[in-house]
Amino acid sequence: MSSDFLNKTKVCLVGIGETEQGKIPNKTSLQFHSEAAKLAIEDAGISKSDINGVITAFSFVDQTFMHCTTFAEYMGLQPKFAFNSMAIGGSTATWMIAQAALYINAGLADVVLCVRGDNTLSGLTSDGMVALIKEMSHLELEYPYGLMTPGGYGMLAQRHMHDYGTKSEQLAQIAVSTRKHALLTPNAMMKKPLTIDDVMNSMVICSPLHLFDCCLVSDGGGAFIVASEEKAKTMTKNKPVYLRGLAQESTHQYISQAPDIDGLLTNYRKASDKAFNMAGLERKDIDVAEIYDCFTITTLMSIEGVGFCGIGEGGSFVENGNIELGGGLPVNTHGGLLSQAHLGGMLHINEAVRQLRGQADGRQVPNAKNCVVTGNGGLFSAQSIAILSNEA
Amino acid sequence: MSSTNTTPVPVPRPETIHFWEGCKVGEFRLQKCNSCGKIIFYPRAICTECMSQDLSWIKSTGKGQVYTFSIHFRGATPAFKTPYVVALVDLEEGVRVMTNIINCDVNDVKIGMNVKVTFESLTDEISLPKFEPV
Repeated sequence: MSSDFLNKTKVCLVGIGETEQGKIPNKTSLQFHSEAAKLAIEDAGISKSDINGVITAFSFVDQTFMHCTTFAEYMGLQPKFAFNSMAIGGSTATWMIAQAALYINAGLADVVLCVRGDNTLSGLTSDGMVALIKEMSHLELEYPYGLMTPGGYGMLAQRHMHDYGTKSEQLAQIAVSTRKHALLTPNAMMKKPLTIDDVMNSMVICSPLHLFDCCLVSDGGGAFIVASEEKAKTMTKNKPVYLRGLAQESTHQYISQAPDIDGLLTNYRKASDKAFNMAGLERKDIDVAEIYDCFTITTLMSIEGVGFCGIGEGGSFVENGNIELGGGLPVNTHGGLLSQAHLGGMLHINEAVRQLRGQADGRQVPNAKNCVVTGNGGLFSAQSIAILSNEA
Repeated sequence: MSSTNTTPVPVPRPETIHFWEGCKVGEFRLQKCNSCGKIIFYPRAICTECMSQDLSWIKSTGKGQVYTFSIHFRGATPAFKTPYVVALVDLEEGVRVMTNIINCDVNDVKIGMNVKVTFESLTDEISLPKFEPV
């Protein structure tokens, strides 16, 4: 299968916006959506009425029947000739870019707003948390055993260590490197430096994952705008960021049904090959990567799955500052889900755009041209990859 | 309905009624496709290999090995007493199941450990299969 899709009608990211992230009580999910959307529209230098497509995700707090049109109504967005609410967990944000590209290529819309926001930290009750845990596992044959989300990823980490000799200290290094980047990011929750000892001495939540191997929970909103290249040329505030490649893959939903790690990552590699072929790029052409990082093991396995190193080689890949600014492949230059905030990967896309525009003040990867963004949903159940570039 | 004192009690559905009836009499039942022979778990209405809806049931030996596990120090609900082990076990028949490993110290659980099924009665209708070291 070959694809001329992204050459037929080039597609660009033209606007980004995000609210403050953190513990922000007394704001609703839709409020966060609207604030982030406004910021993205202003960043793009367009009017609200220029938007003719809307893609949203979902709320963990407010159950909403038709989320995208509910948000569009709240925001007063007209006209809409393309709209969808995507619900593929943490692979949603990255795949919103693909969905927008599909609409634009089909000629159904040419300026698509993608937005997500939630008050997960302040708004979710303990019943709400239990409801979320239930959703991650087969209700009859997994949930009764008390599987927690960090436990699902813990099981992957445990097996990865068994199969490839990966060490806890290498996972801890991911947390440490990511935290360094958060310290350079004004809109990041975690502001204290972190050492390997800090991670190793933190409480084990679900073995082998410690507290600092696990992502944050937060309140906040984020948005980005995707437009046709033709429309992007009329927006002169910022240089456009091009979508060059995309792919998604899934081998399972529930963790008991996942293939062995080798099979899991081989399939991820195949999807990644598709994205790189579409982009006409090689892994070595990537200057920076914003990798969905719900747990340190997710970052590590995703690095292997995308193909920045071989399967099983992630442990040594992340050592010696290799994934830090100044290293071979800076990863999560904003602090990621581990140290910035958890908005399901939306902020990874915003950071990618910032890096490729040259606007990542204080944490800029010099001459960044090409960036990989990933999304990951469920228990490593669904992956999405987007390759972005500041070159068409 | 389960109270906060009991861990979640599975509610059987059409595809799984026969499985839970088996658990109640000490049998870990697996589906087998009569068309292609595939052994299927978790129970479904359709063969995952050939789409046949002609499925039957076999009795597993209940023996397997730990594929992976995670010791949980935080419980999914207040009823779970920590620490407890959630594991994936590969049964001899070639399917993988989620379970708890019990009747041993949590620190003794290892990948590759041989285990066998045991059934824990939750209610008059439901016994939950768990695994213990052989």
